[in-house]
Amino acid sequence: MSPLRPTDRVRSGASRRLTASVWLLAAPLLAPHSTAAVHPVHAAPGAVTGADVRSLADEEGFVWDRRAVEHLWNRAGFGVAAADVDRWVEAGPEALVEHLLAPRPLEGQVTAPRFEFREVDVGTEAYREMSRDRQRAFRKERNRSYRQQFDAFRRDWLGRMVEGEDPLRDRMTLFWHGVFTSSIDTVKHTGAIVAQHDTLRAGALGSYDALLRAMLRDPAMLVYLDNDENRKGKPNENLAREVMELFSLGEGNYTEADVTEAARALTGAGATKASYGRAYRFRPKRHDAGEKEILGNVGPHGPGDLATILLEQPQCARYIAGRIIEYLEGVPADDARVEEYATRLRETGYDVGFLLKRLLLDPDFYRDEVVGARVASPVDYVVGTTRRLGADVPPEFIAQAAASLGQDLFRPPNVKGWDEGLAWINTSTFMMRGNVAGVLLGVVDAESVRAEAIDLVEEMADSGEMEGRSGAEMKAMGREQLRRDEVARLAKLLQRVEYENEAYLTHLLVRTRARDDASAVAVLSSALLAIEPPDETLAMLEQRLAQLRDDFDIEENGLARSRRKSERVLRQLAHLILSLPEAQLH
Amino acid sequence: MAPRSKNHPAAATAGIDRRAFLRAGAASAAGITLAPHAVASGARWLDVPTPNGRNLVLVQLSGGNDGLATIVPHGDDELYRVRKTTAPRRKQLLGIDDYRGFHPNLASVRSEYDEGRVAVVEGCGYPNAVRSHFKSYEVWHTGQRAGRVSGDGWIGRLAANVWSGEDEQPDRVVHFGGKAPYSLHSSAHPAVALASPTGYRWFGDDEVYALGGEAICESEPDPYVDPRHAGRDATLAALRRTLDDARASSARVRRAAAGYRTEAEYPKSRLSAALRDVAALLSADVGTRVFSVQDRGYDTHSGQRASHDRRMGELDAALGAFVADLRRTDAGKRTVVLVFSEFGRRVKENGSKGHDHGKAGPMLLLGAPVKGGLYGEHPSLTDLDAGDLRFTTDFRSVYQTLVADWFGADAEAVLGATYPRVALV
Repeated sequence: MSPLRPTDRVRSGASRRLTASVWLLAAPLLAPHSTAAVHPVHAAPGAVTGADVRSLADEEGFVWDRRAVEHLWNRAGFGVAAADVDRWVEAGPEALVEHLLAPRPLEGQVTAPRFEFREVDVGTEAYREMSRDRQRAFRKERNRSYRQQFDAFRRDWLGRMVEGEDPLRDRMTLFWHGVFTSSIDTVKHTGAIVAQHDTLRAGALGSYDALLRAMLRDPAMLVYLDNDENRKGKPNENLAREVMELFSLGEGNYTEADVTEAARALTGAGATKASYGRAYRFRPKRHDAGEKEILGNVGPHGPGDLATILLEQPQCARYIAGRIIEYLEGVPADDARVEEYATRLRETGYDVGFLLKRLLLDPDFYRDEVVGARVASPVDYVVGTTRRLGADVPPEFIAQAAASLGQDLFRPPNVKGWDEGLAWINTSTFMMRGNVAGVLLGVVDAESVRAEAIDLVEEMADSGEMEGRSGAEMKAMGREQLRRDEVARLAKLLQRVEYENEAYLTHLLVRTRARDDASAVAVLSSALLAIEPPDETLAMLEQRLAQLRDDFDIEENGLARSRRKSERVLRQLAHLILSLPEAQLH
Repeated sequence: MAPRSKNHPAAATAGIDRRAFLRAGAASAAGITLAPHAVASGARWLDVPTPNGRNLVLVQLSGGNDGLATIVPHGDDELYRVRKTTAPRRKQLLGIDDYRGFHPNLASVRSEYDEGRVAVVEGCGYPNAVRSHFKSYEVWHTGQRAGRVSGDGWIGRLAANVWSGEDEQPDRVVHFGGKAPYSLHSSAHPAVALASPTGYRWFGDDEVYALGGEAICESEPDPYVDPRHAGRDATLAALRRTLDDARASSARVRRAAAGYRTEAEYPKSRLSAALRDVAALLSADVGTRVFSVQDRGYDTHSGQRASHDRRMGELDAALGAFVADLRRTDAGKRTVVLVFSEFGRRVKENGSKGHDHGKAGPMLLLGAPVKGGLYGEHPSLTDLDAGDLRFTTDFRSVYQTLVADWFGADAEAVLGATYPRVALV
């Protein structure tokens, strides 16, 4: 699939598309309620406006400030380093959105060396000729290499998010990975998963029309949802149902008869065997070429016709527009707004880049209900923290940490992908986020986990809960604790790669000349948090910092004088900051 | 509804005041209902004391467990006509009667059944069933056909109803595993959920951690002087509550799990590990009353036989160890285990030796307090609803029984309606 370049398409102004400037002029009319909800929070709008195009910054009541810049980066990318914020305040919203949507070469973005199939694989003649033992050894070796390549591929994607060279594309690829999701555990084929990812990446900012059609031919998807097994006279409904429920229309917008008929339309669409690289393969003999009625359309529909029928449904554009807006804003959009965006989406031939441009420059995107009010996903939390710290965290750690927080990329919990927002949070994942930050900062290590395990057992022994147990038994309990511990596992991972966090917080203080507690807290929380914390949080952090200074014998305004001690104080404070409820928002 | 056939003598139910239930049942029959507010602040439904220390364990089989391959109606030849590859062979079944038998791999469940400690409620479902995993789960999790737009999950509402006021405790309801199901959702408390009890803590000074919770609001500025951020503050409040709940439950849960010893031999599986942790918390009596665990892999669209057989085997091994473990402790003897799934599967097998999404299926209840036997009615294999079994018992009848009879709570307040009871506890 060739990369689609959304901004080019908008500029070229195909006759039925509105050009960007016309749309910007029309925006206030299209969104009559848009300005009311935006309250200026901070003064000093700093946007540069063009003479011919009405800029977002001219919207009444809209303020393009640091908060708006951070918001856009948080949602359209994966956060922004504190040092870069002012530059974008200066440049203005249009420039930033333009930057995010600017086409970048995809060649360098292939996330892993393309999966290479060995000439011999299970099922081939050469394989059959092997002895049993050699076959077993061969399978073992092959699976090891699959796993290795998968790990490398996933690592590279997270590394890309941290680097932020094509942030909006990575953001939307992540979005589509949650919509058109497939699991490596079911597909069991690294090559097919990588290929699906590349398709989603190439089309992430392009046409949803093309993406939907591509997914109906995507080997990983066809295997994941059993369509490989769907044949004439013996239909398998799995893909047919999910295409309608999760990929295009949403539950309640089709009948059970539509599912049955769609399954018939999809018969014959499958993938070649793993040994032949899992390519798309349509088997006409397995296809049911008879007449079907899908959503009122009668004909001898095949997979492509099914896609066409779905794309013609007004509900399809509503569903996709609604999902994109909800994903990026964190709250569902109201019906009128969805309708407005859906209409445009259809008019532009499902141009997602165009929709994004419109959304990211919509004053509603910056309303109070939205900004800083979404719970960051695990990937957002870990990648965002890494970016804000400016630390050189091994991507392998990021992958593992996100997985332990509930977002194991390429292993979605089910075909619906991941639920967003508060659904990420429970008591366990909440504490774990703080622990991940602690490990990243070097405040928590395997040794502290071990000490905890021993403490717990000793405490219990002291309070008589261990009566009748031998010392050896208690030691074994401590070991068992340690073995099962997720935090210990993460800490050991960093130890193994000899990682040291060299993003020194003291430097930050020195650079900003923050000497007193209040300014130190201001600098640190602004650097580490994706949102502006409420005053009570800042007050609490100041008290805590004063306490830490006391503990470490640092006098008032004496931070940064003793760098070693200061760094320890600041990292402990940073650990608390990143463990706060405030740090889960973005 | 009473056990229909082969009514086993109820197992020992020491310490349970059955008269209290009779009274509760009578009140219900007389149509006496109270609004949810009347039972708030710790007051129980009428004067029925909340049965002390009663527990419930929910085992969710995610993906749509094939009921016809769990409780197999081998007495109907239609089964083998439409399920040529997926139906377990007749002679391998663990017979219940001349019509039905347990899946061959459910040996422990069967022996529990023989002891009168398993209730099988057949043909459970709801009107206008939906074949979407996610919508159907919403119905099962809320007990409402409208799903989550109707509000909190049924366990969330149960907890708010039964353990409010002084009885409130964040870990009254605990999920073991990843994300808690919506049934546990409560607008009052984010779910307490943990992957493994050992790591269930924040590494650092607990008192420092507490600073980020709701205590911080003591220094909250005057909203009139400094208007607050509407969107952010709502989420922030929920997160602060989560932090407090996490702190309150962390030590309790870890100590219970770390100190647990049992002779029961749990097999190696995720489900088993979770159930072992449940047993640990039950035995330590930390105050948790409802536990939730999940098993995955029941969405058998293709090659069902092998994968479903394996699921049944693992489920049986885990449940077998767990109920044996429960028998060792008093708390365990006051525990009911409910096994359910979001739907059954299509009666006829599809072209890939599997089954597509269906509708009705059986619910299983296990434990000493359960009056074993068969309940409800097995759905017909020929009088179908678009290829699916027609439900014969509304699954909410089982909820009604658990809410009203087991927990002595106001079922109407929790379920929004009353359903015929199934006399299985």
